[in-house]
Amino acid sequence: MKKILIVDDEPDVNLSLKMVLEDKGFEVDAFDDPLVALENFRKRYYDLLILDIKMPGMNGFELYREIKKIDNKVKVCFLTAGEMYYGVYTDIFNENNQFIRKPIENEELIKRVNEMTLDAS
Amino acid sequence: MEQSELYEQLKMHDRMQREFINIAAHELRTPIQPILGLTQILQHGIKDSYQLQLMDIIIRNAKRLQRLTEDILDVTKIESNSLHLNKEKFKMHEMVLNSIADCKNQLKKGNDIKLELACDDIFVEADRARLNQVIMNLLSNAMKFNQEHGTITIRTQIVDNQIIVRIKDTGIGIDPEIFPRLFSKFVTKAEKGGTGLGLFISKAIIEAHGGRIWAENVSTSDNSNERRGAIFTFSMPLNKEQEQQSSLPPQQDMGQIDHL
Repeated sequence: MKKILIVDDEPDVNLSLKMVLEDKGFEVDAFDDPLVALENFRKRYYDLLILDIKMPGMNGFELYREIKKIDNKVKVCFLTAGEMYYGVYTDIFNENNQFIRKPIENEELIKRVNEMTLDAS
Repeated sequence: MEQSELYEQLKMHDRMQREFINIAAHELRTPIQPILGLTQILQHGIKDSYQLQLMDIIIRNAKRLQRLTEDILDVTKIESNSLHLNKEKFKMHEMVLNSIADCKNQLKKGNDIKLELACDDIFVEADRARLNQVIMNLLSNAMKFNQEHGTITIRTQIVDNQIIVRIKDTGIGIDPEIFPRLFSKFVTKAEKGGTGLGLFISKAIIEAHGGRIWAENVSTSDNSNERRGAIFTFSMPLNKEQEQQSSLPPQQDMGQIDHL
């Protein structure tokens, strides 16, 4: 079963994304606190991370930089409601990472996550 | 107050207003995610037709709120000259068919869509999402204004290194008084509602692609004042390579979609 980690500071967004993906057979952990998510990442393997960009305390790009120190091959996809901060995080934009714009339709979310986890076992 | 000082203050006020709209619109997107996502999950488990109907209303309105939010953001982008295009190569007809599928639920009972496509397909280099937005806007208008048992005809052509897309309806036509302001902001037909932003945004998108968009009423044979529908057309330049890929073979593909 493919494992997904979702980090969004909005619990309702977490719940809805988690339910949609679990319904399609993904195993999903969702956290609204990036630091708790980071601690959890040290203990578990994930096929894909879905990270909100704008979060208090630590934004999605900063969280990803910390996660990469633990596993620099992990696949990531950023959730955005519009904010991108191109200039400050050029390293992340240069990696050609995927972005999902909120709100996203359930069908489209499933399609995108399936594509991004194609080579996962 | 000095004129230059006043000008600076106005500029600052304008910038602050745009920033506020940007923040507000971004914050509006977030709650739409759980509303749409969870309602669609609930919808799958419902068998009762009345409850399904209520769910449809919630989803339709959440999407409307989403569209409105995007439109407001687009207007601020257009007015601050920051409408950016993400160009890619894609097949025009494929995109038109997808757009039709996406708004088929707005089609009135007894209406059909007729396709008159120029050739097998036309490769364009454009912003796919933005072009899809224009076609959806024009199709939604045609569906909204069409009469019962009406037809919407979508035609694509290549003329003089330009791709021309025409959407014709058999509805009430365009009020002559509205014509000069048709592509301005907030122009709506009172009884049909809407924000009146769709055509303004469509024009900006097409012009950003180096094209142009215009509208006309369907002329009647007897030259009377009776209007028998509206035609919205946009044209965009094709580059040489696209033209070569698109113009062969020059066959006429006339398809009709009755049950979308």
